[in-house]
Amino acid sequence: MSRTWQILRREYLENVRTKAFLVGLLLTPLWMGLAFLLPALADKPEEETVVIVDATGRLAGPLRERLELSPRPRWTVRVGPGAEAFVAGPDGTRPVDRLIEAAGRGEHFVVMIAPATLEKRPPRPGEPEGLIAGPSGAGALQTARLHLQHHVTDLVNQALARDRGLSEDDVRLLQREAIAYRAVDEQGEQVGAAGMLTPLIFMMLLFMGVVGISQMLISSTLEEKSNRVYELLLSSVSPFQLMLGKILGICGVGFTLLALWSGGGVLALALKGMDGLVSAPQLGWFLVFYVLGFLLIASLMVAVGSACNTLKEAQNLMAPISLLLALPILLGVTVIGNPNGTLATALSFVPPFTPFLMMLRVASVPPPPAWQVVASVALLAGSTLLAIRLAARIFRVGILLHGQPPSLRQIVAWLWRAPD
Amino acid sequence: MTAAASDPAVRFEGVTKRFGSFTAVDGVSFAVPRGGIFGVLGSNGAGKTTSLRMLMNIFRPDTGTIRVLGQGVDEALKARLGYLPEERGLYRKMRVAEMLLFFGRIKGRDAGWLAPRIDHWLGALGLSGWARRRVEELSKGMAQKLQFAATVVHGPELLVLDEPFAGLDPVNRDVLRDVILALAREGTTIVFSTHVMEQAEQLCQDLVLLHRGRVRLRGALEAIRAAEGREAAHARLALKAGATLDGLPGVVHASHRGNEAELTLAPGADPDTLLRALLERGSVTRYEVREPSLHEIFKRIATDGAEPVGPASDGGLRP
Repeated sequence: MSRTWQILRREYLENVRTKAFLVGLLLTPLWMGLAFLLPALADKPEEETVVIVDATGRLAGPLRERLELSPRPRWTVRVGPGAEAFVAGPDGTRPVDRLIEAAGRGEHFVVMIAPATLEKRPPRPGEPEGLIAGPSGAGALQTARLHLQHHVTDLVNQALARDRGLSEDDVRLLQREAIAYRAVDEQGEQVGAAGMLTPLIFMMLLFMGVVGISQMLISSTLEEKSNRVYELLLSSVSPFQLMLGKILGICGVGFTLLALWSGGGVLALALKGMDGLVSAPQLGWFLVFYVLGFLLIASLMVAVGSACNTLKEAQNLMAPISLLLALPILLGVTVIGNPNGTLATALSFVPPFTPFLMMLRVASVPPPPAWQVVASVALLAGSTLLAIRLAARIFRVGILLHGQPPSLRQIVAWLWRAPD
Repeated sequence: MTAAASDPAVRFEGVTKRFGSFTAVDGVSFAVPRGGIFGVLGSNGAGKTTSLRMLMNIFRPDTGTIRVLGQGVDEALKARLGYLPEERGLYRKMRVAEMLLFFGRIKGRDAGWLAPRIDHWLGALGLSGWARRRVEELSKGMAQKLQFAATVVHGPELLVLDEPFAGLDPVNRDVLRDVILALAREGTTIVFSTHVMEQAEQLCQDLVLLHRGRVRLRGALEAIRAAEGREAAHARLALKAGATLDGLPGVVHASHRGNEAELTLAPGADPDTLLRALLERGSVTRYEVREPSLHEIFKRIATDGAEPVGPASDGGLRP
């Protein structure tokens, strides 16, 4: 054990004391923070322009008043001609048609109020049609469109109510929502919208810690192989001690990163009074899934690194494996939408995916049944032990092999009967 | 520890190692006496490195037994051995003293025990000023000496050196040779593998010579030379244009190495007649008749495929 510990210690210190580690430690959260913050920063209140063409003369004033008070989006309101805008000129076109064309070019929105609009009915023959015209598009444009629709409808409702003799109070009452929706956790406590974000952040952290960090084992194994330091090491330790020490050392590097990141995250949440978003059991599962997931994936990485001689060979071998490992991230959005659905449940029992998907499910609301978590962890632990044993067989042969890289068939042969 | 001190330091008995259909080591038996320097000789591919790797428990023999320092080969034994492999390298990013500390620790020594020895070895190998520098800053020769220090820093009872002088310049070669001789004087048993016979001749008292995985010679160096039963003329000479060493009187084998020649004499051949014949073909600046060099013995074995020779000597294997 003490020899394994020495290998572990060296591997850990050598990787933690590098500039790359410090840069990764600081830059990654900065990067993630920017990914969240940049849109908000760049997202200064949109400036939108609207032209109001009111054939009734009743809505343009109040609508303008309302829009000009709106902080988001910020409206520049122009009130166009009234009923005459709907009358065709000598060339057969109406002034409003030119405004609609300009709206199609993205210059502004046009709100056209017709008599039919005020009565919420289809126009009669010969009557102008009321509508809001604007460019097609999603995002901010959609928000602006809904904003205009909401205010026009609201004003029309008020006018209708007044026409029918309802009081201002009645109007306000009618406009109020009758029932509220509350998202709750298993204790019946209200959870915020960030409840969706927590599982996703847990999964991303786990993925970076497991897949990202365990890749260091490929380069570390390759480097020691090309430095020809292995035979010297093997004169002191067994191949298994060497492999285990290396894997655990890098596991410690990843643990340090994750502990600092999530420690910082929990602290930040606590300072903002949002510490209810992360629970102690979640952090416990996070640790379990990290350690088991890391050992599983790291066995794969160390086997690849020891079987290859150059980074290029290793990359070729890794390409299909990386695609497979990225699957949980691609499926994360689906799983988070339905954390206890058939797809999520089935895939969270596939050992290489278990750490990521089960973590996502454990952090989601509602959490999966306890037996599923326990069973998947047991399955994962069994697979991890098997993976370490198999990797050891490849490692002990691979590290002393130079020259032509072994074929996949040879590697499989080592698994069955390791020649020594 | 039940082994008597008179037991050999290393004993190979009928050791065979195959890689697929290739037999790298084939029924090898030899014994390394305690103390002194023992040579494992042979050309490239003779099975030297495979034998040493089995001694170090890096490979396991298919058949046969290996006993080292009175016990079977296992992981715990590694702490008592030092091994300088032929394929060797260091952690380039580590600092010199820190790396020696690491290699000492994986042999089970603690930092307190190692500290004075690290200073000692860095001094002995002329690396004192480099303790805090990174390994990648060292020249090739310095890195090789550091490698040697990493092999001996934990104080091994048995030191296994695979081609320790390869790639060293003459000055560093002398430094390393003196250190090896000093270790041997202090009682460390040294197993030293090389394909350069002159180095073995300078350093070893006993040796085993492997060829294509089999033992061809084993025993004390002097006994092996004596067992050859013939003499050789060693000459420094410059041949006239067009002259060769073919057909010299009383010579059974001539080996021409540029300015020097080694001429194996037939039993009873007259050295004076040979010298006269040589003078007719060129000028001779040195002429000496003594036992043949290990180089010649080895070449003869490697080319004529002679059967294994085991001169009766106390360095040989006692069944």
